[in-house]
Amino acid sequence: MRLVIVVVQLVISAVVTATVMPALLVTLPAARDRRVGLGLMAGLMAVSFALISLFWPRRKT
Amino acid sequence: MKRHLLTSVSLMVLTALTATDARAGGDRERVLQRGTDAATGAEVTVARGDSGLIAINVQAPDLRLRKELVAGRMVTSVRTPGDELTIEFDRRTFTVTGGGRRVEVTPDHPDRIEAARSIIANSTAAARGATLLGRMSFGPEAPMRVMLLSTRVLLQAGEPDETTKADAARWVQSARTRVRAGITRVSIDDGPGDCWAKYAAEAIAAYMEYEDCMANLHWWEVLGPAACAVVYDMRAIGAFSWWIGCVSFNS
Repeated sequence: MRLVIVVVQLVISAVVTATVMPALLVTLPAARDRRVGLGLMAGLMAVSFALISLFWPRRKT
Repeated sequence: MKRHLLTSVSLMVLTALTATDARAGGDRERVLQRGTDAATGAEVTVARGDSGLIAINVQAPDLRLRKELVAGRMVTSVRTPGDELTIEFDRRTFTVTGGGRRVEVTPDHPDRIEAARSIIANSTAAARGATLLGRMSFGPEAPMRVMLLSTRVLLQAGEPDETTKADAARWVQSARTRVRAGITRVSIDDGPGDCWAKYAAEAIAAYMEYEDCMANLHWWEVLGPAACAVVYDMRAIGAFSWWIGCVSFNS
């Protein structure tokens, strides 16, 4: 079950990254450089994953 | 014996006929590609003329081989210090010149093919050219491989040796595998760096389209923003998944 949750979290973070990345490429021209862009993409995905992991699924208190 | 020669000739005529139509003579050539073969040290150049001529030159220390395609005509020439052989053909004629003889095979005189074959078979330049081509280390997927392979068969006067037959079989096998695979990358620059450049271009285009879409909405188009967002999401996610596929391990 835990594995399924992690996979779903990864998919959601990939979708978030895919959706936000074009806006970043337009607003930050430096991100069009492969090295900067890939770093930004990886960072964005990590942050998305961390946030999603924090808020979903909700832990029972 | 004749069949191999005729097959090779047919293949080359087909290539010659599909080549760009242009006039020969006084053509300035521009080198498109230049490389040195690791196995033989021969310098290979591919050049294009202003008139559409395509030429492949193979230059070894004591041998020069040139293959020209222009205006539906293909000319293959091999020169060594002591010998020279030229094989030309177009829609109607197959001409072999070498050893002080010239034979022209036409639809009216197909019987001359044996005489043409004997000129090639007795030419030391042809034999050395075929040997050189046989030693060259182009991989089976190199685009000029088939061209040089057919030239090799031609220079062996339609009697390919065992090595040539084996190389031809390998090339056919490789071509079949590539056809079966369905995808052949044709550009040598199509690496992960290009994947990123293409992804970035598509992602930026998607976002620009989204901005345009939102800017051109009228107040009564209540579902417009959602439609713009859906189109944007589809494009953005599509571009991202394409990029993942582009940089993934695949053969």
